[in-house]
Amino acid sequence: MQNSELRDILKQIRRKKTALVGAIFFLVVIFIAILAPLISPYNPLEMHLTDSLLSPNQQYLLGTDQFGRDILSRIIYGVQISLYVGVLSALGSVGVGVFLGMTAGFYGGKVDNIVMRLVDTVMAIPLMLIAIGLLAFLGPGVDKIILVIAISTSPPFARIVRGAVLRTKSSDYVLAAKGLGLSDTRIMVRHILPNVIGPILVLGTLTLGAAIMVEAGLSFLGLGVGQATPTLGRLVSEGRDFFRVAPYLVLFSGLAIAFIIMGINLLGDGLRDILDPILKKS
Amino acid sequence: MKNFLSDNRAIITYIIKRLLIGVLVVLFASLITFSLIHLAPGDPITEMLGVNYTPELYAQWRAYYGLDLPIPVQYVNFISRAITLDFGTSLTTGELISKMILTRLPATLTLGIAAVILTVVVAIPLGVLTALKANSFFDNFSRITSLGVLSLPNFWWALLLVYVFSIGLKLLPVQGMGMPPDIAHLILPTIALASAQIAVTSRLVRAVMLEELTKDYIRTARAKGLSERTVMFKHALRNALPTIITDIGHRAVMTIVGGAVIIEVVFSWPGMGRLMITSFLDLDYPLIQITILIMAVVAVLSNIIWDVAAAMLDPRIRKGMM
Repeated sequence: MQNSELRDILKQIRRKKTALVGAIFFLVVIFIAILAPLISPYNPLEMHLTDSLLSPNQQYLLGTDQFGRDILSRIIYGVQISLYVGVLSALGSVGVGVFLGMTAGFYGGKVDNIVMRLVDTVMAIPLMLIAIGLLAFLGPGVDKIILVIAISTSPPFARIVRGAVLRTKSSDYVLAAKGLGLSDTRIMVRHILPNVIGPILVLGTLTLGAAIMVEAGLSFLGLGVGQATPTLGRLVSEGRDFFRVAPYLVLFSGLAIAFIIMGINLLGDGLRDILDPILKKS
Repeated sequence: MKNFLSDNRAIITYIIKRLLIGVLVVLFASLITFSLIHLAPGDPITEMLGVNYTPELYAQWRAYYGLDLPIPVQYVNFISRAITLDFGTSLTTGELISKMILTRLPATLTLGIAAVILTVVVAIPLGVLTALKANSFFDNFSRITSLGVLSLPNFWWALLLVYVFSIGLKLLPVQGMGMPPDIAHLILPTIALASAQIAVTSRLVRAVMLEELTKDYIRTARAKGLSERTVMFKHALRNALPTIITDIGHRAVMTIVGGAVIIEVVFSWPGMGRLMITSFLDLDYPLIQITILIMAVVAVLSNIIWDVAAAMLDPRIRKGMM
């Protein structure tokens, strides 16, 4: 994608209201994640046992949990973990998908058959099942979660990229590049991949949302990141034990997840609308 | 019978083709779940025996589970036993896995089917209505609402429903299936499971309907002076239905089978999803393997059923043109 096109997209984001709202939400989330140590009023793990289960007040803006830990600080760090897991998984997903799609499309034949059957299988089984299945055997940990989400969300990317490779493989400019003696990798990265940057960007944004949602679901089920880490999903599940006496525990942590996902979805939705005409034009 | 066969040849070939592909997917999935147990860190047998065990005891249990055989043989055994529904026993409770599954599967299917029905009943009319009044206030409102619903984590949404309708208004039970199972216990889990699906599907129905409405035959129908309602429901919807059904099917199966895991945990619904999670937390490897495999089979089979239903509705497929 050329720089001018990128500028074009940014301009259109500014013009399109939903995309703009999404972008602003998302920027807020990024700032919270980066500035977590500076803006969180307390250490998220620090217990104030005399202040347990306080409802929101001046000292603890969003209240405290059963150990007197500050909910606001825990949510801020939870946002950081969510975003970290989400971004790395989405990047991993794009990487795995692009690699698989290119290999399948470029080499064709048996390779294509094997890779695409694998992709079909993964797509025929619900994301959550694959994630749980893989996690059961990999064990807990942030890195494992990222790996699992990256693998299980990669098939759509593989399909898009494979399609693009098949469409352009025999086009004149690719043949010309081949004739010039460029390597396969170079042809794929420099000449074929740019064709699908738009769809990958849109799908990548939506995958980021899906990844954050899956991570939250897994931590809610207790299958996610280690025990002590305050992930947003875990905060909801911990708050559940005090649902009747302190519903705000569940309420605020869930709202934080919804806010992140909403921002990403709005942005992804807007990007799709914006990139659609551009894609059609080119 | 002969008549039936020749009349429905295309659809039967179609079903057979889909089933064969389905078998392939399931075999592939089984291979993956099977290999995973061998990639797992630690040993399921030591996991089961705990700290104090003798090498003899270890070897005995290993042989009991057939883990001492060569891996390809183990896989063949695993598959042939799975086909005869002999899944062995759970590592933690010692119960027969097949029996556990027989009691759990109906609960999951009930919840899943209820969610699909709710999705169809709400999403199709909603989609048609928003297409009819495209870009109106109602349409925009429904667009924003679906985006909002899709941004809610399903476990949190489920808990909010519980808070409002069970704890607050005391209208519906908090969890479980009821003794004996009743409709009241089914309501909240079904809504929680179907909400995201309704949001996605109603938007899809809208898009498909809008596209259908640009076609020539619709203009003809309108020119004939048919009422807008007849045009919408008798012409446009009818032609759009196969697309809608196939898509609802695929997405619904995916989100509902996947979502059921979480919703079942929130509502303590005694289904496969909850069984999967408890077996996971107990490190009960054979049980995890089987529950995941069965849920995969359920997903694949439901997809086939949906596709066949769509094929039957669509004369283009029915007559073997696609």
